[in-house]
Amino acid sequence: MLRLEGVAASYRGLKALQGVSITVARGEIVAVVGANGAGKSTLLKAIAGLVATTGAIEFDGTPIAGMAPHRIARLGINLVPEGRRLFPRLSVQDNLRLGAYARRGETDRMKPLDLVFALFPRLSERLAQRAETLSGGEQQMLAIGRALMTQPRLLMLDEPSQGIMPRLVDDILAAITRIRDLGVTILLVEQRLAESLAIADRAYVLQTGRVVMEGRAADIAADDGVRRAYLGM
Amino acid sequence: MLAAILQAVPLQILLSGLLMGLVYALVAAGLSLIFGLMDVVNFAHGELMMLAMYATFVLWQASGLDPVLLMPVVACVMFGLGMLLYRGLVARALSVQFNRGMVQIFVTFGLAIFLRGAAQFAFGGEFRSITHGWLTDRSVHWGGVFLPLPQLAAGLVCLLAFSGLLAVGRTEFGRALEATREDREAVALLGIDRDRIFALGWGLGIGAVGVAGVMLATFYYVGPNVGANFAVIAYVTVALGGFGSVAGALVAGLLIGEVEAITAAIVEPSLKQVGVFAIYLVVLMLRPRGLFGKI
Repeated sequence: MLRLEGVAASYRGLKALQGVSITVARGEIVAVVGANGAGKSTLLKAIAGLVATTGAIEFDGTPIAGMAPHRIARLGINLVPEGRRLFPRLSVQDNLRLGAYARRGETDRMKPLDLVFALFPRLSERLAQRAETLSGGEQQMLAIGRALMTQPRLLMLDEPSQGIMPRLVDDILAAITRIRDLGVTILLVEQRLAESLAIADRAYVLQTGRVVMEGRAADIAADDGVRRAYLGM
Repeated sequence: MLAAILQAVPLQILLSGLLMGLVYALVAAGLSLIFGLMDVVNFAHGELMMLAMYATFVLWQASGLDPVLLMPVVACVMFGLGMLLYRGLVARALSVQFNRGMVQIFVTFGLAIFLRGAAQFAFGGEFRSITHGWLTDRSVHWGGVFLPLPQLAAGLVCLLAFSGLLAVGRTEFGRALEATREDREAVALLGIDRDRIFALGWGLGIGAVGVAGVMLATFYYVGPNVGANFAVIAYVTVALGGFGSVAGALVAGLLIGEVEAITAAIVEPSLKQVGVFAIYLVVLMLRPRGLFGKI
């Protein structure tokens, strides 16, 4: 579904990615793990079109490198960015509806709302509230909900557990698994190694902008040497 | 309070100030909308209004149609021109790598100088005016108050246009405008073409100043420098109302209109802008973000 071949990117003058090649198959959850500054976020931004890259990026056979971010999004790739990037002064409802804005003209574009409320019932109780008044966990739910409103085929999540109380982290990760079970492919970047490897099918380990290891998530989770060498724990 | 004001200032002056204030408000609303959307100050705003006034004058002369009938035409042309200016000029200025702030300023400032020079070249320096039409030289007398019809119509049309702008804010497109203002990167991630939103924002802002220009042309002289005066008042209005706040522009515009009318009446007509700038200074010192500012 997604294929990167020899992708390099610079971010703020630093070489953030060098020769990165990864693939994501339909229906998988793929985790990208690595220490801080390994280039995980830059990788997701590169796929979303937010940072300039060299090398090939293909989505369902279509080359997307160099395409404008909104065009990439319309192909069915959605990034839930680090820090969530909600529209703070708009209501929960408006944030969700804006996810479907680009599909104006399609009659059933609000249909994913049912799914969003089924996954995150709390959001349906807070529709009129401004996004900025939500708790960290609720904001993350809204960010994922807003992304689902675009009806993505590939959902990329950047640190979904950041700034969330531990009890809610499990809820969010469980929701990610349910979203995959509904047919959405997931590319996940996460600091919490054990939890993310537990829900992922495969994983890539990134170090200073390069892929240093790839394999089944369970194997990487079980390998103490990998954890010490690349993940600093 | 109202009674005290009415005693000190005749109703005539308050109503004149109100009508002019509505025109100021609409001019400022366009400026504020564009600034709020993308942090670009359009220094050519007054000159674009001047352009709409000349367009009205030329069309009126050529077709003999009343300016009121020409208003929708000119407004649509200005809307299109606004979109074109964004696509052809502003978007390019925003894509530069270095010193983006300065480039933005120079691009709209340069446009202002160009438009003023072009008007001077095409029409000469002398003032033109629309000498006959449905509204010309008519007035309404009501309870001892005398209101010229052109001013009354201008105030009402500007109020209508203003309501239109506020109504747009409540539509789904309005939400997208607000979202783009809050996080232009996040809207792109949702598949929203922000360049299109920006261009439509320019269309709305310049369309609004176009409506004001047409209505102003029914009673105000048309000349190459007419925009400059109104632009300065628009900056004061936007600063008072709060940068980026369209509703703030209405309140501030009305306030400025009243202050101007009252200053002219009780001090001296040629000093009418002294009151306006006094307010500007006070706002800058006491509340730099304006009455309804979002920054």
